[in-house]
Amino acid sequence: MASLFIRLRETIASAMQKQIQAVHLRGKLGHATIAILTMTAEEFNGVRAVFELNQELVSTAYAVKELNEHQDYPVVIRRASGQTNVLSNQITREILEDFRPTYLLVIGTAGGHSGRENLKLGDIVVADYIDYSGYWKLKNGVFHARRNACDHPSLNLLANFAEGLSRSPEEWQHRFASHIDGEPYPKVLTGAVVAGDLLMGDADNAEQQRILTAYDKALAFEMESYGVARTVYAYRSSVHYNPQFLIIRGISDLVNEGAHENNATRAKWTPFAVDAAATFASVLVERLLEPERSIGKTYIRGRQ
Amino acid sequence: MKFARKAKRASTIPVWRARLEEDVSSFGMPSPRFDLRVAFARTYDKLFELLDERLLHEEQLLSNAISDGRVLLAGRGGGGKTIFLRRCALRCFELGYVPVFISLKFFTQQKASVWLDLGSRLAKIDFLLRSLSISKLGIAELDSLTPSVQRVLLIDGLNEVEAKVAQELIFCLDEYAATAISTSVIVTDRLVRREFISPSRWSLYAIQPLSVGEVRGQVKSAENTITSDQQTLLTSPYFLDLYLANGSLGSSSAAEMQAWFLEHALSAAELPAAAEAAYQVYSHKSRSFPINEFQAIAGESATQKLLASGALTLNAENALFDHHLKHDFLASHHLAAHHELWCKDAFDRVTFSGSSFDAIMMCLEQVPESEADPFIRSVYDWNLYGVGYSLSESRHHNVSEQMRHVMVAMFAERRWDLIEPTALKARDTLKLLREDADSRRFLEFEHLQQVLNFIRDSWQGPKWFLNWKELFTTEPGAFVSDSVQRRIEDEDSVIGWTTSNVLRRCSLDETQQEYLRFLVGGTSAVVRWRAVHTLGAFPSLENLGALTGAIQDDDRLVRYGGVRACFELASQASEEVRERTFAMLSQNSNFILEHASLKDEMRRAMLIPRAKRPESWISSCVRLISTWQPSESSADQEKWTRTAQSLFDLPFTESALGVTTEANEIKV
Repeated sequence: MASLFIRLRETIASAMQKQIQAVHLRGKLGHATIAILTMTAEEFNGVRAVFELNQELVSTAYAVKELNEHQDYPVVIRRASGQTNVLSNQITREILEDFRPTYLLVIGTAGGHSGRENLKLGDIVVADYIDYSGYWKLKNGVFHARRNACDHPSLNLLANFAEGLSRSPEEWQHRFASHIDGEPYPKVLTGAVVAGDLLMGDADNAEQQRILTAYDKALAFEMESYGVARTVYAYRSSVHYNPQFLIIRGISDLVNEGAHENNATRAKWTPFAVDAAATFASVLVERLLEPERSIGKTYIRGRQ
Repeated sequence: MKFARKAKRASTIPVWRARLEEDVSSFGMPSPRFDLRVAFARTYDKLFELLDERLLHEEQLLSNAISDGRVLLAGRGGGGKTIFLRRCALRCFELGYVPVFISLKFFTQQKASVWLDLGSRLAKIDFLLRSLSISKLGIAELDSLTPSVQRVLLIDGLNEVEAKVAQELIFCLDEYAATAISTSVIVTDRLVRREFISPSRWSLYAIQPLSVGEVRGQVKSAENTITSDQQTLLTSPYFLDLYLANGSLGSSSAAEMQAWFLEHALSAAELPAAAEAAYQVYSHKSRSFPINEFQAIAGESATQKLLASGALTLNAENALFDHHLKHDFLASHHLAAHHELWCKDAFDRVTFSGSSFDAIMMCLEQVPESEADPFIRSVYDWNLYGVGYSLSESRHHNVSEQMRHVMVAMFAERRWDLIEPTALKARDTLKLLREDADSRRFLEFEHLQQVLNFIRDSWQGPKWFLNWKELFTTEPGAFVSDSVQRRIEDEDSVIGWTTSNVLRRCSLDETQQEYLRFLVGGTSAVVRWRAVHTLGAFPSLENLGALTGAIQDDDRLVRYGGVRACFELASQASEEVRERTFAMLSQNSNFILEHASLKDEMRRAMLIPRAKRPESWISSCVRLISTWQPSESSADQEKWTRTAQSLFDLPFTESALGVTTEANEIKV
């Protein structure tokens, strides 16, 4: 009976493995289970260091942990050529075509809004909704919001991975290298992120204040997530491909206060914020990559 | 119920396969089989230069298409592109791939207009698949195949449709190849530079002329002999095939075609009417046309003879020629005999707006010596590239040496144009003319001054030519007299445009610039355009004011010139003038965004090489793009994205990782 059960387990495992292989679609450069997109050089270097993605894929803009003759990588990383949704849109296209990743993570920094959810510098915001702040119609002196369709962060990644991890800070905080003894650890908050085409560097600026007021619940403001969300939306065109994405941002500055110190604040807090977002993301990625931590495996264990 | 469902599942796939088999087996493959090969080029620059690269057969091209995803196969008319593509389709079938072959010959204007109105690019691909492929497999059916099955879309004859449609087709195929699973596309086209969404993802190939050994072997086996001059024409598979069938050869492509029609289909008396009919039915912007329209002009007897000879084939109400060169020849025969037609509308008609230049080339072969110069000048006024193609591809023409010099000099000066796409096009044209020693020389020169020196010292000719030469070789930075400046208003377009270009490199005082601003408010649209073109080289707030007027001009070509001039001016201006220029463009968006051609020109005009633009250029352009992009259609949004991307040199080498790009510096 025991041997029969073992064989049954093997059969199920084999079938699951085949199923996993079947969904490993190949892009032009191979397959990646997870692709990470970063924007600035500081974000790229920080995230790359946390994930130990030190192996360049020669003649490409990607880096991985180890080369692999089947071009089947657990994680690849790439940096966009600059900020703005326009460019993140373009680079996301390339990533999805090159590796057909199952999951796409955007890891980096953002400006946070203090006074909302008790958000502080260095905290981590995981986006559950993407708003775009660059599309308005001005009519009779009033701004009317206009919208283009886009995807939103994956509920699967949010509910089954990010939120669980945010409730178990001990799972990732011990790895946080930038932590200073005696100081609190960053919090992980889930909420709306607004992507625009302006770097929110002047809290006194009328246009900036208008945007902050218009998105009165948003926790973080940055310049790329909408470009990513638009592309994922466009690539969800095959029954065989269901890319899921998540936005993880460390708060490097505050968009609603300290207008004159904004640059200095951002310069000071960016390394900390990048490390916080990357560390949290690295544990989340481990969970994504480890099938034994998945619900399916737990179920099998439970049956045992 | 279970049985019925199973039966349906079992029968669906064989129906698809049967249709695909039917599709592929319907190909007519000519005999004898010629040895067709292609050469690889990573970029269009390389494609235009290809001479002795490694040559590949269809198996290797197909293998590369599977790994690269997108292939464009370019070649001359009659070069064997269609046959090569059919061989690729057959090979796909042998390998168990799913090949979907689409001939754009059947993409009528009616279909194209429905197609252009479709909302998304995927819908456009679906329409194309369902309406033009025999298999009728749409996107959903192709997607439902297992991911391990390789799908290959083979699109024949991008040059068979209007340039605007062809360009949109490229974008659609680009997007489809990017998003569809296990899908590659191969497209055949002429040697015409197209835009891509992702240029680095396209592999370009040029189909090569048949080798001399192949030609000699085929001719020998047919027990014929040829001269070395004839041998050149016979490196074209189409003409070799024709020659093997007829055993004779004319002095030019047009003469060869005329001989064929007179021998196999038409009398000399019937030829003009058939030619007019062929010209008129090109108004449908498609290779296929209603047969009754053709017959109403050509006459019933001539039409029946063309059908009987196989030159015309009938498909329900519509007909098309068995090879587009036959249709092009007839249309060109009519064009050559009607001087009054030598203008944009007619040239657009017979070339599908600059997609396919064989009719222009064959027209040039037919116009008499007295009209050859005016003809080529008319073509120059319409399309630079058309001149290059006609002069390089015609085996015999009557254009004077001096007029060829004028054309080559104009192309050469554009090599140093501030706007990169213009400079690229000029280089392409000079490469097409590489048989001409001066073209080769001008491609090698590093500075415009070398071109001017060479022309001044070497070229001679009649008085009109010497006058032009004196004007053209005006030294950069020179002060010019008012009388020279006023030649910008000359009715002769060569003199008028040469003046406009020369003035851009001269020193104009404030009075002279004021005069140009005065011309921008004048009555002649072409003079307004030339004045605007010149003013772009002289950045000042006053000139920006004149360009603002040009952006709002009623004439679209003046607006077009205004858009371009604004970017030239901004790239050379002080910070203040530059900011005001971008602000002005933003405020006048309604005058620019309402026409696709103006938006396209704006996207091109932003592409000024890094060395020639100020540091803040990218941020200024990206900010403008960001302002406009959200309210654009998704197709246009993607074009703006591509433009923004083109503005960057991607900093992804190891040494550049720490570099902060200009876009990182964008501020409120």
